[in-house]
Amino acid sequence: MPVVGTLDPSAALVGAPHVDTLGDDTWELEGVLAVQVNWEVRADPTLGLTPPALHPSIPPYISPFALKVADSPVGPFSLAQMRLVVRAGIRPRGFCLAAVCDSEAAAEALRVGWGFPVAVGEVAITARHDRYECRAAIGGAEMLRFGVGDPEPIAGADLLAFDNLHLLRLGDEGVIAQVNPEYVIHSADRGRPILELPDPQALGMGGRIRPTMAMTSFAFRADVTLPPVRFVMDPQRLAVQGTRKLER
Amino acid sequence: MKFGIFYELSVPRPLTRDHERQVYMNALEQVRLADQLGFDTVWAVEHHFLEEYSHCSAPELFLTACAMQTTNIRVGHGIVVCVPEFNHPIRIAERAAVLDLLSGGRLEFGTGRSATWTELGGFRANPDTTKKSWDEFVHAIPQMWMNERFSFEGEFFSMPERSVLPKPYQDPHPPMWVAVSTPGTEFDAADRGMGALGVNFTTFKEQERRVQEYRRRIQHCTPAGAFVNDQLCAANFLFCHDDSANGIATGGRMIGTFQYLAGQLDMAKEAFPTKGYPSPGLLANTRRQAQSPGEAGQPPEGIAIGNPEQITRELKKWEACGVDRVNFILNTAEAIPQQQVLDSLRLFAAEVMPHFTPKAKAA
Repeated sequence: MPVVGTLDPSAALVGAPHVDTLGDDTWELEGVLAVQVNWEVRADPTLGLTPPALHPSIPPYISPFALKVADSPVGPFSLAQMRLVVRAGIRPRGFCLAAVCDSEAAAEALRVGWGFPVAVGEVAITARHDRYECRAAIGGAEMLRFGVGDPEPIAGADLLAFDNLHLLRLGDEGVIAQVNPEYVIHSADRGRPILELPDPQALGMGGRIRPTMAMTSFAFRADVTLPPVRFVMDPQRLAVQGTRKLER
Repeated sequence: MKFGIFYELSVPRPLTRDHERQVYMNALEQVRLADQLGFDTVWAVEHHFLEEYSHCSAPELFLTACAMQTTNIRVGHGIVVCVPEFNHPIRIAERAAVLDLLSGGRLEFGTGRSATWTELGGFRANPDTTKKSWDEFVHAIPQMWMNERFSFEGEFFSMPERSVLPKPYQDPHPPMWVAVSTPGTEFDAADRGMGALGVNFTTFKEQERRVQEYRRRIQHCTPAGAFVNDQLCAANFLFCHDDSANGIATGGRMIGTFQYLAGQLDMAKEAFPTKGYPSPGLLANTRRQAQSPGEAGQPPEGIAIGNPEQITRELKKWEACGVDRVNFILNTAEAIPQQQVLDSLRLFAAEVMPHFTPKAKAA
């Protein structure tokens, strides 16, 4: 039996998003720029960030992920996420520890609709010839910087983007929501991973994310469909036993 | 059709020293019995860092122990990782030659390149180039075995003229194989005159298509070694019991455990986008079928679990596909008690194997 996380969900839920119901909307987002870095981290500390429903990946790694959206039902926005890669049963997922969004309306919609643990702040996602870069800050305090150095084109088919998991309070119960975006990738680049964590306590990391080895980084342009959440799981039970379809 | 047994050497948590040793001792006992029962080959993987799923990181040692405790069964590397950060090709050639000598010429030399980020990253190997390094190694190693002296200038290694010693017992060298976990690798095998060592679980229809294409292409191959090894192996599970329900339930528990542990692996494709690994690898089917740990998984098509009649029927289908050999995983993380594994082997040998001997075929 693989190792499971040791996070106390009841404590973690205190600061998690709280909604009565998750949204029914589907967002169709065209021409999105996405940036992702994969970076190995020390194993033991991350167990404390992982709910008992989930297995840590072997080896554990983080997967910061940013989206620059030119238009959406609530207007343009940029979103930066700190994600820990885990396994829900046997499926790799990005467990979102925290996120920053530069639009108040988008942050509210993402929190209410999909359970994103998102705060409003400053997010700058830039594409240059020599790099893609994402910087995230709240109130001027920079918390996350990551990117793709010296990018070179790769095939979009070579990419696998993880689905997200969000811990939230849904009515009276704590759940982990599965968010399954679909991507139609138009172009992609891979390059040298760049990662800086100016504040290791920020973005839900609690000082437990200790980077050890760069893996890869990539950026892609895609049309993104963000469908409503269909499945939630009990944070205390193994995902293969505690996942249920959401009644709507 | 020939039958082999295939070892990942998976160890259940908690990972105690006693558990580690017991898994190895149980495997050796199974190998000794398989030798007596007429199984053709024992294969062992090379995996590193794959917690629970496979603790078989030094297959040359395990296979040497197998060889020293048996008489007839052949010993197969399934596979040696042909990536320079894992193994220097000179050391691969030397170790394989010694194993061939000690076993009296019973070595099957399987090659591969690893498929998980866990392993590739652990050795700081570049997933972009593993196919190229594998190709370089499988052409150079047989030359080391066959030539009195050998020198090489390549992309992944070079060496001045030296005598690589000892030479293997089989002359000119052991049969060469390639592990096939991603679609298309069987054609890499065919083009180089190497056997295709299937390590994934596929459907009859897909297998039949692959066999036909493999046979067609190997007719026009340029052998990497001195001769063509025109054979295809399929991977399977085995649990044979007189009572069908017991056989299926127990075998299903093993498969479920295997699938769940295999599903934890960080495949190269997931963690590191590269055209070097165009698909998630051996686990695409496994992932779809996995349930939860310890529960009976949904068996893939053609799996050898159940009573002897059921198993014979399934294996006849593999034979009809044109598969030359089937290799069985006998247990996973000790999900099946050792005595039951041994009983399953005995029953299979008594009731199923005779249907596949040359005599049975002639009749």
